[in-house]
Amino acid sequence: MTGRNDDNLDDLFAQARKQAPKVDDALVGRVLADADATQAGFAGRMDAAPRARGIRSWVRDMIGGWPAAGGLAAATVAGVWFGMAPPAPVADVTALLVGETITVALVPGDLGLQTGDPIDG
Amino acid sequence: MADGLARKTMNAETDPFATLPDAALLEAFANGDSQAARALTARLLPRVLGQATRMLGSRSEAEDVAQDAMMRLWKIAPDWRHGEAEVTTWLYRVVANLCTDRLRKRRRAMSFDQVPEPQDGTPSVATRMQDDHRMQALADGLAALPARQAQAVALRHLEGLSNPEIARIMDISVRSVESLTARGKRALAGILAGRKAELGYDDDRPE
Repeated sequence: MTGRNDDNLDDLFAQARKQAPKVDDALVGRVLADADATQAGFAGRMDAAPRARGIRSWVRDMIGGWPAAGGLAAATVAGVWFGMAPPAPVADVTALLVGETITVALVPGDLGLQTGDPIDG
Repeated sequence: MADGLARKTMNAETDPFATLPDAALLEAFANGDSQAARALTARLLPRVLGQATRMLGSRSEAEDVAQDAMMRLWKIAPDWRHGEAEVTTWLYRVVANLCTDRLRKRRRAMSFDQVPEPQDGTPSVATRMQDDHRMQALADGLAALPARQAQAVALRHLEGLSNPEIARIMDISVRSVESLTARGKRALAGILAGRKAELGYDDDRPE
């Protein structure tokens, strides 16, 4: 009995799968009208987008554009560098301000480049 | 796949969009390209309408669902995230959800034995009426199932999709798909068994 019901159901599924309704022009027209109306709404969004980006470009303009921003970045890196490994004249000032000197080894000590350790002995 | 490839080869010269994936067309649409919507509609609407028709057994309701599903696609275009899902996977999900919503409302509006009997007529008309009636009965049967079961059964047996595809569409595991389709199909067979004569499935018919 169940087998028969399953067969009937499989017949019904097969029949349903054969249905491939033709899309008529009226439906296409409605769908495209929706698309055009929705797309027209995006135009407003796109107008608004530059304003959102505007804050970033406003800051950039204020500091003098990309070249200046690049210089600023370089200066920042140099500042960090000086803070970590100040050259001798600066080190005194740094020590004065910070109270202690932090030495960061940037070149491995065993390369034999130290002045007190000449290669020829 | 072969069909899609043939279509792409055939239209490559006439349709500048033919080789673009759906997601790229959707992005072009979001960026204001007026032809992208036409290309997407030609590509996707037949499948969307087919799925809705098979699930609902009603042409007019299927058209409403198809238009609604495409509207949701237009609206989501600017926020579409690449690589997250295929456009077709997303549409299968949207259409399945819209259809089970419709079926639920239909179930509330109409009790099962109020379905009109097929009318008498010439044999060809009678056959067509019976075909329509069977599709309507199938949709009513799906309406009687829990929504997730109805969706899984429809995607498996009406759309002919694989279990992994259905798992992606419904965002569940393959094991859950197997369980939903098995339970759904069993329940549907039971529901439709009560309408055999009406569906033209006579137990005495010669096999």
